Amino acid sequence: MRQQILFLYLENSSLDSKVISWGFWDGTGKTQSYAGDSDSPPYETGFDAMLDGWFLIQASPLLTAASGNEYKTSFFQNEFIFEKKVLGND
Amino acid sequence: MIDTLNLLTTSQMAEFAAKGCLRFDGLIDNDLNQEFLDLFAADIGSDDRYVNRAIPNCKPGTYLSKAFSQNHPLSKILAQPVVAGAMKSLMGENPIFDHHHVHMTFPNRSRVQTNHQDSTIDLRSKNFDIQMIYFPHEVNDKMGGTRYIPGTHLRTVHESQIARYQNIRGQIRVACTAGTIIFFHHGIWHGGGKNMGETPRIMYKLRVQPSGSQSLQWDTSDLTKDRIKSWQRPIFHAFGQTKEDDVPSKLMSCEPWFDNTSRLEYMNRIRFWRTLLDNAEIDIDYWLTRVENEPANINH
Repeated sequence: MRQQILFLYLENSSLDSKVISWGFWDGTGKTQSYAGDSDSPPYETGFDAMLDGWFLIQASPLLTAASGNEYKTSFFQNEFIFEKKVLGND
Repeated sequence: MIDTLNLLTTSQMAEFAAKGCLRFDGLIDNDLNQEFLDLFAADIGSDDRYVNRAIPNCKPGTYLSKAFSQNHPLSKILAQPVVAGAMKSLMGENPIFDHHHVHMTFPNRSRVQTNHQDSTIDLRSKNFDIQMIYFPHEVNDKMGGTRYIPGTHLRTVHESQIARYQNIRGQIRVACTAGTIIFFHHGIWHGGGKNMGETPRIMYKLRVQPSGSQSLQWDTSDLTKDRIKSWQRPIFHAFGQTKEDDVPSKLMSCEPWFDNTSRLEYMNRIRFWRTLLDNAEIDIDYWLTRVENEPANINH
């Protein structure tokens, strides 16, 4: 078995919100992905990925900003990590 | 020698404040593009180091005006009236040379740069750097021209910590005519693409620092108190603006990648706009006025 990992960054903390950023890594080595390889997300929402058989393995927690940092923006806050287990070459 | 300056307009500055970039396609003429390209021999090899030996070895911290000899193609590019005007408008008087680099990307041998922010965490609030990127030849959509994400410049991340974001809605991959120049705010997220074309791609990058104020350095002849006041528009209004002013619209424009933090982006843009206008009272659509309204602090 091999693991495929899909990172989806959503508009808010709800799984059915819009995908704004994404990354994909294929543990079978059959496909290669890289920065800037697509302008269209693989799914419109996180829930669409679930409907296509992706298993959610981690969601970012909802955290109060540290005092003094309430208005600062940095990383995307709504990160959802999905996995598929697929047959590899062995 | 710089003879003419085409200063930026207030509207262009608002676009820069919102998007962190200003793009001028085909700005440099073909003769000067060729003069720049002639710095690099056809058999220069595949190593960035060889390529970068062809541009002057300048010391960081020197005035940009002293960085290159007068007849060097880089001096001529910087003297082009739109380039010189943008440099003055964004950087103010006597900008400082930080560093420059030629990125030569060879077909089928290049690695893809992940998305990143250049340099390191930068917490300045009154000043900022710019990076001028120059494409001396045509870049088609197979050549992996620089990828950038407008509007990301005010986010504080560290270098390639965002590499996990392989793709971001609204990303732009530069495909352009020869002589295109883009001015980036130092914080904009970007990365070099994979060259899947047939010829090497050259991009020249110049980082510039300010030596003084960057406020009100553009053509401010259209800035009036009444105009500034008009930027406080009634939010969620249902009435069309009788007199359209694109400045508040540009500053409040939405990017395709905006998430639940979009209102924080608007507020941070307004703070940046206040710095550019050297006016701590300016607001757009009441975003900062609302959270700064704490009259009890004054009365007690």
